[in-house]
Amino acid sequence: MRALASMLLFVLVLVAFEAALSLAPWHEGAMAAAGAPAVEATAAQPGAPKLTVADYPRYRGFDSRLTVWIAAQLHLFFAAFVLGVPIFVLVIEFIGWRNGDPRYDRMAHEFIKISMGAFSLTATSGGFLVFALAVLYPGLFAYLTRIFGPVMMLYALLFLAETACLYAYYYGWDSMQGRRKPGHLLLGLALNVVGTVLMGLSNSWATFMMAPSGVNSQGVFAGNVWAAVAGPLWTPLNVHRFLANIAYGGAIVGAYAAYKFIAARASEAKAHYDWMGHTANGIAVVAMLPLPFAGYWMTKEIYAYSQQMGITLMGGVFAWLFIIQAVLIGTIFLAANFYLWCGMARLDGANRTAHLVKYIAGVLVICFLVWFTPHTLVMTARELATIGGAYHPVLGPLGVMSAKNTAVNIMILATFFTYQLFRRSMVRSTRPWMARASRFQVAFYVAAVANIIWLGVYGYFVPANVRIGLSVPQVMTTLLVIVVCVVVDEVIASRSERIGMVHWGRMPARAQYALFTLAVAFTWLMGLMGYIRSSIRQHWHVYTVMRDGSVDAFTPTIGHATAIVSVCTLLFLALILFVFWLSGLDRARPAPAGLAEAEATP
Amino acid sequence: MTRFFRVGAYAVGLIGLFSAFSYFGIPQLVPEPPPVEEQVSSAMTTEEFVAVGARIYARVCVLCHSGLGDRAPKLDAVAAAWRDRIGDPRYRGSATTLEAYLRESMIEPSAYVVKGFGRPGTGDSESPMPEATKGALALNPGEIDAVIAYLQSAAGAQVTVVPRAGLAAGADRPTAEPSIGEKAPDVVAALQKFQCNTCHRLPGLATEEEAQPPGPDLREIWRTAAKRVAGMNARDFLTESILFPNKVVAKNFESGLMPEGYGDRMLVAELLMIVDHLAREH
Repeated sequence: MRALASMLLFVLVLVAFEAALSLAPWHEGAMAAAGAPAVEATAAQPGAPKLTVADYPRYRGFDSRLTVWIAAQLHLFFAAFVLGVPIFVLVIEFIGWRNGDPRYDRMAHEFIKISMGAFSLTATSGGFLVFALAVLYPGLFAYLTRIFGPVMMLYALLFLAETACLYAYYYGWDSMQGRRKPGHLLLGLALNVVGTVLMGLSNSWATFMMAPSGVNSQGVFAGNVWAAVAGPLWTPLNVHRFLANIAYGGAIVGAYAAYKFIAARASEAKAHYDWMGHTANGIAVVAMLPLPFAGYWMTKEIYAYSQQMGITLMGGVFAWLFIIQAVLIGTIFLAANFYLWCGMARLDGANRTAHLVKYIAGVLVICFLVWFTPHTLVMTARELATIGGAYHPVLGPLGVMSAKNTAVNIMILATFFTYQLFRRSMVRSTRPWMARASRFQVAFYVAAVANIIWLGVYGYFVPANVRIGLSVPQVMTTLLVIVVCVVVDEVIASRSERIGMVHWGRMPARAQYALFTLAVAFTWLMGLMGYIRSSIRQHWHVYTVMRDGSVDAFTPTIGHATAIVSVCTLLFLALILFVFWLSGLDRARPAPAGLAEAEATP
Repeated sequence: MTRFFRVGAYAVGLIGLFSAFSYFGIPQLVPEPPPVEEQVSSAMTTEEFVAVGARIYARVCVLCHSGLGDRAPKLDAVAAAWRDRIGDPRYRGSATTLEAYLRESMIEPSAYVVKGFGRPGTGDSESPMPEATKGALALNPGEIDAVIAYLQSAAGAQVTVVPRAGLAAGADRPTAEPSIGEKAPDVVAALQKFQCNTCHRLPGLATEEEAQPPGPDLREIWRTAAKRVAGMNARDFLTESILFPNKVVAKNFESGLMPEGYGDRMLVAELLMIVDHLAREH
């Protein structure tokens, strides 16, 4: 729990740093987009080229869009993984250094070893993407280069710095122990800072294509690179991807731990990989909890930039993709919780709370069904005729944001409650005030859920702009419950009697399949959301500025798009299996003794 | 190795489930193709001009002005409301006629913002609607005129704009495919244009009695059309049967015989003529 709290704190600090960037006085992106002095097109400043089919080279056997799509998606999978893993590796290493427990150090080292293997595939897929763009979409590539040339040069230099930091961090692990550990931690910090800046720079190209800034309506570049980088969607995308990378990294290393757990024969190794899987699941869940809110922020900014784009996203054909998203997120929540419930078997004192699991499962399923319910799928007359109406006459009201916000907040609380049960199963209240504190926690939960539901219901009776604002007190209620309960639990745990031990390794094999489910669902979800983010530009390379003149300037059907997402997911999983195999070739460190029956330090 | 294949099969199965849900659990809608520049000719009749406006409206405007009135104001009552709006102290435009008001609303949407539909935080002083002549919409003057004609017609007002040639503004869009061709002058011509009589017996069109067309006899479809699908009237059923011919297939006829795609090839006016003709008692 302490590790997860540290993780959360670290993430919050970096998110605050990202948000502060957007508030800085030199942040001109939104201003530029909202109508900074117009740039006059002149002969010396060409605007965005008007491309025709002839401007796109075609090579037999190559579908240009598919090639770039798959290359970009694979690069994003690997990039998210290699940027996410070092963040929690640093936190775990720091905790291990502070409490002197070598198990943390070993786990952090094993995580970064997997990341090392994936790093070269990140660079390879990135190189392939650049070549594919330059060869198959030369007009677009030239235009982006004209604007982002200096940023691309900086990116290349920082990539070198990232490589240097990662290699020094990994290969220096054993030699920089003891007194040199702070230096090693600083290396890890540098690795993460450079990685985060790299992510921000490459995000700016994607957000420029979605919501161009620093150019006029003809695409003429004003010369201010920062204005082009810091567009209206840049900061929300940075925050969203930063959090998603951590969650994704956790899910993938969780699958690694699960596979190793199934393969392990020795009880020490089983205990190690069980603990590793438990930690990875915790990382994935903790980083995922704020993701829906980061997503709402991103969508709010999309609406603020262009209501047309926002409605295309949430009310047009893309709205159906959010039904698929709901299924995937429901799968992730249920798999993560299932893993935690199975994990109760490790505890001696879990019988006291086991009966609560069925209620948590019920709450999760109900909330999932609410989230799954579509509402207004505003479409063209033809699409409306196909569907037979804009929304379901009875269940339709459950599809609005008031209901969905309520559902997601309660899902988060239910998941946190499972964590709390895990923690509380190991302690027994020995003093009267502890029982009172527990009753206070229950009352707090009840009041919080009542408040969340009341705000959700109230949302039906107020205008849309007020309704959107209600999500803030709902989220704050959820966060308040989590913070207060963590504090109360810590106080109780530090002053109460421990009952029994955590038997790491005492875990059924089927629970490991929950971790595989997390990895597959996260990967598929990332592919899907990447497709949505990119394709809401529709037939524009750079929205409203540079039209896609190729034969592929159309939105594919949902079935076709998801088939490509599946292909990308399969390719990535095959390659990451290769990475797992590679990392297994290295001589493994011996598992620290005494882990099989250790105190719980989740 | 067995373990490896078991885990691999589980992952592939899970991906297959997600894909299957996306294929079979979600409607496979074909998104609209990228917009093309409508061709406006001074030889068009008002009806044709309104039909062009209807097409543009369906493609560009209906995403927000859907008729539900939840994302943007409904426009069916604009003919009755425009006078009140230009008399409102919040009005910042210069229109004195319905035509001018509609044009102004498209080119300068913030001149008047209907209460409750402004950009959040602006107190309904700023419209979230993009300028129709710029950005992703980029309608040319001829297209703006056509939309005005359609809105006037749909609101029951007199159509005051006339089609003018040479008004294309060179928007960054390819022009409409000419394959749709000129509008059929009457329903018989429309039925022949789309070769409906090749597969159907039709009211008003002679067919050899000995011939056995592959499609259902539609000469008396007006008797049964309203009863074919619960909750759907005759006109809706006929419209759907033309646009989505395989959705409801007549008894004893195979699915897939009638080609899809009439929605892309028929002008709205032609579709309406054919539906009116088939739904009417003969």
